[in-house]
Amino acid sequence: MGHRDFVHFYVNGKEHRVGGAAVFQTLSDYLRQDLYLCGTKVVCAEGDCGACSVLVLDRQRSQAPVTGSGSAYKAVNACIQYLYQIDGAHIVTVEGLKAQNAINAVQSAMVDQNGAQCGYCTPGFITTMCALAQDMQAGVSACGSKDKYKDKTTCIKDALTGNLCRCTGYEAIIQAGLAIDLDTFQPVADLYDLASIDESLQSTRQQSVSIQAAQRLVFVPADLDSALGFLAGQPGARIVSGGTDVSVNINKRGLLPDVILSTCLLSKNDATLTAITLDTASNTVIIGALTSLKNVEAFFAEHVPEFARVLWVFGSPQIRNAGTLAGNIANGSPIGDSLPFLFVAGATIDVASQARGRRSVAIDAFYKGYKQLDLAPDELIVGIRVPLTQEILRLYKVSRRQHLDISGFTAAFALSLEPTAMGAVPVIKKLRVALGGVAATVLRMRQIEDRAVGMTHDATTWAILGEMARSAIDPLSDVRGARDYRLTLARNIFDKFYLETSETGTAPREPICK
Amino acid sequence: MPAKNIEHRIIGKATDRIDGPLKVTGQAKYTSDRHLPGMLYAVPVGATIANGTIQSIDDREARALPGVLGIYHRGNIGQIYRVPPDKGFDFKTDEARPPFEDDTVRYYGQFVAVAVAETLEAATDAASRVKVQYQAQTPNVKGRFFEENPKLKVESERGNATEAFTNATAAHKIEQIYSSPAQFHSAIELHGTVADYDGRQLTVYETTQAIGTHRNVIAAMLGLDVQNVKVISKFLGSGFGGKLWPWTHSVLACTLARDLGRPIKLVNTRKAVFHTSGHRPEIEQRIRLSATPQGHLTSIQHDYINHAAMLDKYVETCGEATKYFYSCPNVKISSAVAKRNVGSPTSMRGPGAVPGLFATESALDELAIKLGMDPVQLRIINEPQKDEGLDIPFASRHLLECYKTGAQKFGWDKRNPKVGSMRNNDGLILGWGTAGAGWIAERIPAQASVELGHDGSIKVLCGTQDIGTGTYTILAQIAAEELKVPLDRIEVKLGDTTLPPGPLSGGSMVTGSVIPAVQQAAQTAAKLVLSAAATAPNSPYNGVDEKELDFKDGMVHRKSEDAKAGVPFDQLLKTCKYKVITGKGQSAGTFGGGKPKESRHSYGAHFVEVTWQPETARLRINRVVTVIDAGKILNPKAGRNQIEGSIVMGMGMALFEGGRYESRLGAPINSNFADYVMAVHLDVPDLDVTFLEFANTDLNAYGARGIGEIGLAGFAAATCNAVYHATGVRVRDLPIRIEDLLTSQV
Repeated sequence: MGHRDFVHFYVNGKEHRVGGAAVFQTLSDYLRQDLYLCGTKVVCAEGDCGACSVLVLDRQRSQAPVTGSGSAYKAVNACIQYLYQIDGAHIVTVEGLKAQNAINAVQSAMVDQNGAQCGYCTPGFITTMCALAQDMQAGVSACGSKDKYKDKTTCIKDALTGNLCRCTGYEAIIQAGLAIDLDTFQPVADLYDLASIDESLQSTRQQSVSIQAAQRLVFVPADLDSALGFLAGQPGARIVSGGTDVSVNINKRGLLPDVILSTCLLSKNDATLTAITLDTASNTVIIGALTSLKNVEAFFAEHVPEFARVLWVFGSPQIRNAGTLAGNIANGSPIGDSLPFLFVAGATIDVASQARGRRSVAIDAFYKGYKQLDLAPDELIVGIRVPLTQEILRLYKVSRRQHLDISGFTAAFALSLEPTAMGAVPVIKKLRVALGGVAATVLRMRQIEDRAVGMTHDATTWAILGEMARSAIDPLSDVRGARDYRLTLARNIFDKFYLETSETGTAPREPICK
Repeated sequence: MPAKNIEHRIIGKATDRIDGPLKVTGQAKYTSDRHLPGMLYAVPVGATIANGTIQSIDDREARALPGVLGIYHRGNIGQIYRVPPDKGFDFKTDEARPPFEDDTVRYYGQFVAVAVAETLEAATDAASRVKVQYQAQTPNVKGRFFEENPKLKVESERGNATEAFTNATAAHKIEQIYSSPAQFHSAIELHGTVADYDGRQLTVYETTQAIGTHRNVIAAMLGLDVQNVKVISKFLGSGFGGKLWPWTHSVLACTLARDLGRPIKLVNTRKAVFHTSGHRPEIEQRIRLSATPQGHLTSIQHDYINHAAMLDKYVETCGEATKYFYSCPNVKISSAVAKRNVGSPTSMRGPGAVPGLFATESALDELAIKLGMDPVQLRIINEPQKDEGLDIPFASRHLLECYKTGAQKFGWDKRNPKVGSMRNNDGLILGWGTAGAGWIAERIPAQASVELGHDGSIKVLCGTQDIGTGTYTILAQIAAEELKVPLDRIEVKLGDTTLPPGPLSGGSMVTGSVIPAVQQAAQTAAKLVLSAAATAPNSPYNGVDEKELDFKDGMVHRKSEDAKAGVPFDQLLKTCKYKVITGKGQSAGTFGGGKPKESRHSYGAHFVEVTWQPETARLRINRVVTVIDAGKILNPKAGRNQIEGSIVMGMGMALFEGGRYESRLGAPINSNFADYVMAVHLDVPDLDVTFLEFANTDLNAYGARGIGEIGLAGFAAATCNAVYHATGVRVRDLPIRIEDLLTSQV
């Protein structure tokens, strides 16, 4: 089958086929400048404020709530979705929410509660709240699982934490969230003839897209073989999935990749790349490389809540809806929020190339230096395998703002204790520790791990281990933390871990949804 | 003047904003949403040094790109004039230098060229390919201004504060330096301009809080007749002061539109807004306080220094509130400016008083601790009977009532003053702090008109703008109240310089200023309709004494009859062949004149609870009680928004916000929303906002004063005071960082 020379998508129920240089613009620019749909606002142009939030039909959600049509929309930041990322998508903007020319239940709640002040962030809030209302209607909490839905206010705050408002102080918006009349809210999916949209998009879905404009080339493979074939001929092509990192760098730092491979069609055509499953025989979670962080979070909320906690503070819901775990791994930043967990869990990265087929790499062998990966230019990450254990697990992220902030320091501990008699101080059987933000890569602290074995699980031990950590690292000073602060954190995080895991611990764990 | 209890139908009632439906559907049109036929995009090139000179600009590669019309810089930009000297607001700019005027770069990001192209993508690409060679010099972006011992200028003085301080015993005085970093308005809408010149008339769609000033400045800088410049700002994505005075992006866009003969759209990137569109300056303040052993203040010395751009003289008047806030016989306030390689600072929400009260209200807490006194009690005993700075009476001062109500709601009487002594049910340590707030209550000149049309329309016209606070709704409420018609009958036209000149949106002065003008316009319009009814040949009331007629619910009727028995005014106008009847109104200003007869301010008190978890150094703002007296609140829905928004901005000021200038390049390095951290939804604590509505009718008949800024005043101090109570660490340099609290012994 030949390649298409256009990307094919829908906006508010209308078909769009765009080719040439125009595919190298952001969805927000396309909406505003080409379609004059100016309700979508550009404010930060890097996915930090949510003013450009639009809804995208989400077919891969693991907990797809059953609404009228059984389809769910998720909010994403249009400013970091380039058109080559949205092939096969149905986008709904604030202009597309109008049912019979009336404002919907979300919009009327926002008017009633005075949730719009200057109004510039409002359309982004409205779209995001429509996704929230859809989830509330379906009985799925904004946080991903039903039992956490008890505290509605926190769930609303959580769902909207990727939307900045500088005027209202948020209170009126939270009240609007609480006031949405779910009985009259008409799910976005019900506003459109999704069957015919699907049919139309299906007609081009098996065809890869190849668009060349001036020096720039983008390839949107329809299947994994095409992707690997393309990479074999264009090694080093920039791979874009959610775009929560690459697109930000294009907007913010002038990154201008000449050759791009966009995975958006792969995620629609290859279920193994979006699935997340538990292999019960090996007790290992197998995560497709294109699974969204939101899905990973929802899955781990059941199996490893501690990791779901980190994903909860990973970024905004919009970022979690678009971004992937593989992206966080491939980014390779030493402050990548998911990495310390993957290090102590002993995760394995599966990569594939046309020339050499598949191979697996242990995560702590995957990083060679600052953003240097054991990943050949013709290779693609296809999956991540995470063994589950019964160990005591604690993950930490330190940032100035709890939510929506880049980490300055991260840590992970996995601990198992020898069984001891009642009342006796337990002895450490096995420990794995990883620290992030203290070196060019995330570090496994193997000396500390070895030293810990056989020591008693008490304050003195953890103070010794903390001191070892402090002496073992040589962190930098930057905007996210001074060197001394990071040294102190590396030392004290051991105390914190002890306090949280000892029976006499005094440090309460802040629950996700409270 | 005693509070009056006037009953109103619409004024003071919780009212949905009339522009709400437009805003929630994305239909409200902001500057950057404008598309004009043939429009070009302009993207400026910012300097990558903060100090030095431009050696050369190579634009060959940029110009050769498809769709690029040109690269403009000092060598080829059209004529730009200077604004005339002016002490008022009419021609105010904070960056007075016309863009591209010389080859000197004085701050990082200063515009040195601008690319113009058919599409935004082409213009952005072209701008990135303009190669500028600089001769760079080391920039000066240093803080710690007092270390340089600058000469201080006395701003206000009474008694002999120096002597009183020197004579006071060490146990009863404190001397500390407080600092706050550059703070950025971070209005959600980016600064931008769409300019359209037809050969005679320049139409400027602009993100501005002052359409009149903007028109005057642009006309002056472009050398156009002011009558031929129209500025339109229908909706504004807020400003917080950052959009009060014209910035260079607008001058460039208008110049290009004038010279290229095609409409130009120039919207700054977020980074360019950080670099070129103002900020609250970095400030250091030295406070010296002395008191009697019983706590009566014997001296206040308040010295402050802010950084300013190399060519400008912005002074952050931190001592504004210090003059009148407390009773004290010896007060000396002085200031200095430290020239730095930074973009021009400008007014930001509560300029002067907000950073000033951070320092003075923190210092007062320190003094209370030193004297072993309750901080609220210390404020009570220093309550002044008059404005001692100006020696005039207060028009309406209810600060102590704010403290009383706040203390009661907060449960202040349960406070144990010992550091780290209080815990909540979860075992977390509590810190309780308080601080006062104050802000000016003034009026600036305003005109408005009310039009009653034969089509049944009722329009309020005023050349002010709604920056998001709810001005559209307030004007509709006033007209509906005065005309005795339902709110939804009123249409409000703002944001256009062809309308009757209205106030700029600054200083929390719009509402107070427009009330008399709109009241007068509405009353006049109603009267004129009655006159028409009494005199027009075809009128059913022809010959009736107009004193016997009334205007209510849109009906003209005899006072002796019910309104329903009358004639709809539009029918009457049609019958009498009037297309429209216009009533005009105006109010004079009170701001910036000579010495006032009364001291007019609004007041408030914040009570803040923080939780502190010493084992893990975790600090949270947990609960806030804020009580504000700003007179009559015209719309409680919009009013609450203002104060809650101020509190959350105050949380940012206290905990997160601060520009950081990198010393080598002089760049503000956190010039984006990933690194300039503000509070988000999940940071919002329990907020309890109360208004005490002591209506003082000096400013206007409703007794309303502005509320846009007062909520931010004092909040950072209340937080620092709470943090001290929890941790024993006194943070004097904002924002509070966890690193600072690691020395806590709690």
